[in-house]
Amino acid sequence: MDPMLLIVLLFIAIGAGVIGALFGLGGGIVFVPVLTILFGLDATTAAAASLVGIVATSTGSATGYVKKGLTNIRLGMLMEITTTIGAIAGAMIAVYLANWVLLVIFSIVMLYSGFKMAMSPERTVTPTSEEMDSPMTFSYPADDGTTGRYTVQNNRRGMVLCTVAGAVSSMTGVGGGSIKVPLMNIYMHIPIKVASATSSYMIGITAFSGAFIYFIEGAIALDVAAAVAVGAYVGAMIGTRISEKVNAKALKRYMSVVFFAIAVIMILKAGGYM
Amino acid sequence: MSLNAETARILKGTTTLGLVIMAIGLLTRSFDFSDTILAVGTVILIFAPVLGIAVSTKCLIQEGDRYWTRIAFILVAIIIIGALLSYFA
Repeated sequence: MDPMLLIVLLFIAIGAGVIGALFGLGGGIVFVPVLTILFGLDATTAAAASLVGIVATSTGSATGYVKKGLTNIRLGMLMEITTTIGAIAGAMIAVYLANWVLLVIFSIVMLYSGFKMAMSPERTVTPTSEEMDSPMTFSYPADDGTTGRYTVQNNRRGMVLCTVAGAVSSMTGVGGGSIKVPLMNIYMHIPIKVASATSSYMIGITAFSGAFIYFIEGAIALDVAAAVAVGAYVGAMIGTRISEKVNAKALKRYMSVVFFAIAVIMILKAGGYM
Repeated sequence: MSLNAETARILKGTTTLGLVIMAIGLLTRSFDFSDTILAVGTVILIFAPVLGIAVSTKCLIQEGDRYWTRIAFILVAIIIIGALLSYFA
């Protein structure tokens, strides 16, 4: 790619990184439309570069959460078993899928994410006395400085849904946080704060499986991926600082409108109208 | 060291190393060896989460947490099988 375009992409990736950190996303939901619509890359190349960027942002931002003990590493590894299987299958299928099919799948994910962001549901369940000794009962540092406890519910259903999240993630180049966080909270009753932190940790592992396959296939445009990764990481660091000062809940609602608009553009592109 | 502290340390170190190498690759874009540098940086970066799992598994073994060590080994096995499948397919 032309060096000037790479510099432009670097700055766009910084912006995407800021947005990703503000809204708890991997950033792929921004990278893919930018790379396909603005830079004219095909969906597979865009998804491959996006996955490398997602590893950078998610692993970078997960570090802080892991250190604070907010990330449930054990649960993350359990759910990654099925997510990784889905991601491997998704990346293998994506190489053979037509460009318009990937764009339509991506649009559906955008619509779903926009809907979930607008609704922002939260559900948590305190463990009963019998559940206290279960390997599925965990503790986390709560906002008020105390130690909160929760028991994970519906593990099997959650793991099956994680397979779908993994496949969609690697097929479209989206980290999957917008799918996993509501899934972990609604079906598995994990506190939203822990779900976001654990999802951030998981996104990197899911993206690895997809990114590695694209790397082996030679589908990664190395300069594009590097500009996306470096820019997104810098943006994520800036976004993390900004997120401490802004009302993210209000921003989430505005962002859902942007997601719907991008989904419509992608559908039009898939249909050959753009 | 605890599971979380040690995992956080390896994630941060590997991600930073990969990104620094990628940035060097971008800065040396006019040279022939740039693609090799970018490829090395990309591989280090995308392997960061896997190294995190490896360190977490080591910590779980040290803690004697058999249930979660089994889960970690299953995940590691699936990741290795996936990598081998994609390499030889």
